[in-house]
Amino acid sequence: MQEPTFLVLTALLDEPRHGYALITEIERISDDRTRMRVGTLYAVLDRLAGEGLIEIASEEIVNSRLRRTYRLTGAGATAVTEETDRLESLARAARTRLARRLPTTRPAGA
Amino acid sequence: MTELIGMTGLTASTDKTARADKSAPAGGAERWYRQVMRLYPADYRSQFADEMLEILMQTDDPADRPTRASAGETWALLRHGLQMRLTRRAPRGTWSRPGSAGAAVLAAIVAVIGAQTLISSGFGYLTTDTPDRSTAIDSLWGAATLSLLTVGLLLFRRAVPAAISAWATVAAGVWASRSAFSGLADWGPLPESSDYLDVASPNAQAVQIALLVPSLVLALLLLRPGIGSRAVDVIGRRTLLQALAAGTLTVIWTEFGMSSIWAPMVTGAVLLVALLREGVVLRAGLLVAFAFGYLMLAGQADGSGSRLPRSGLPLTISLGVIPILAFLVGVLVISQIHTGTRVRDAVGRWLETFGRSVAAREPVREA
Repeated sequence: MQEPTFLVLTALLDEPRHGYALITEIERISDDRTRMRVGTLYAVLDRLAGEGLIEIASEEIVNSRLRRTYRLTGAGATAVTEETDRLESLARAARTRLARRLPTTRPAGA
Repeated sequence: MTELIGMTGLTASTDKTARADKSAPAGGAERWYRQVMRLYPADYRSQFADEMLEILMQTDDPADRPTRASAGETWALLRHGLQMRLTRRAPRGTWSRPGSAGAAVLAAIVAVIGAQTLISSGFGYLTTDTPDRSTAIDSLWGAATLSLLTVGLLLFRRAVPAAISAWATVAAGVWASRSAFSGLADWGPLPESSDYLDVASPNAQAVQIALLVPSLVLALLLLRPGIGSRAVDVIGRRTLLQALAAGTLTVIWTEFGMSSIWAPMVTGAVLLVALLREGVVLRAGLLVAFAFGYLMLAGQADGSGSRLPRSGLPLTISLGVIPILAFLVGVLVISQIHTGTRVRDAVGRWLETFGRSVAAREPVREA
């Protein structure tokens, strides 16, 4: 799973969100490191909806424009769970190896 | 028609369209983004362009709407717009399911023709009186064996080996038909009275070359990822096996005097039922019809001799341009039919909601 995909799914975990809210939420999740482009966001949304991982929760007219909110499906939640497990085990493996490596390769004076 | 309704998850439930806010004059940035978004496919744009534009122009302070377009956003729109135009044109399932079904049908029919080649070679070998019995063996025996292997691999969802085997079938067929190809330049109008049993006759050679086309179309189809691995899912392993069995039984029967065209016909008929059941009959049927169109041109179907013109430009046109043009027209017609269905679905949905709102306004009084 690519990072934009993972971020969108994660931003939908707690509640349904519309496009702009997704971008600000993703910014928050990533500690302001990722400001997702609109084109990227909608490409991800289109693909995820095609795969059945998200769906349109509601459509309402705000300021005479249509605003859609998106929500996670059951399959989407499963996908996030699996990806999180995978990332966690990778991070754990890296931590273990980092801990083993530190005593011998610590730079002089540290 | 589930194939149509499930086009993509996003477009399925959107029959309302937002009206763009025309009161505010569009700034330079907004105009620019609108221009860039023309790269997106029209149906996607009509549904999502306004929503995307609103986000692009949105800031925390409404008075501070961006006047200059951002290069990063523009790049993302260009990239994903182009990508969507190239890949989303055929929404998931529109051509891939019929493609899988078509591949299964082609593989089965080609395999039955292969079985026919092998079985009649075997019969010929056993019953011939000539001293050199090996002349009874069809030169296409290699391609025939490989075509059986291909359908076997497809039955077990082995997409990559099946694709390799399909291309090997084509290669073996071309190799066995090399004399027919070299004879291509010498063909005049093919004789009216067609003696397909005489291997050296131009008719038989034309048919032999035309028979390579279904294998070639199958091999090309199997190059697309997902086509081979899902062939059995669409048609069903049991149906495919039944079609193969029915075809093979007919082959044995044809050894006792029936026309050899019957075996592939029987296989095709069994599979046609499956195509109808799965709702992919138009698109998959078009693929199969195109693949066997060359056989019709070669005159096998009506047995009254070929209508192939003398070699040169007319031959190139009739073999290269007309069938492909017919195929493209078929694709166009089918996509129009599907557009029509989409409109009908939208009207149906609108009527449904209309009916519901009327029902809500007039509560039904019950005794």
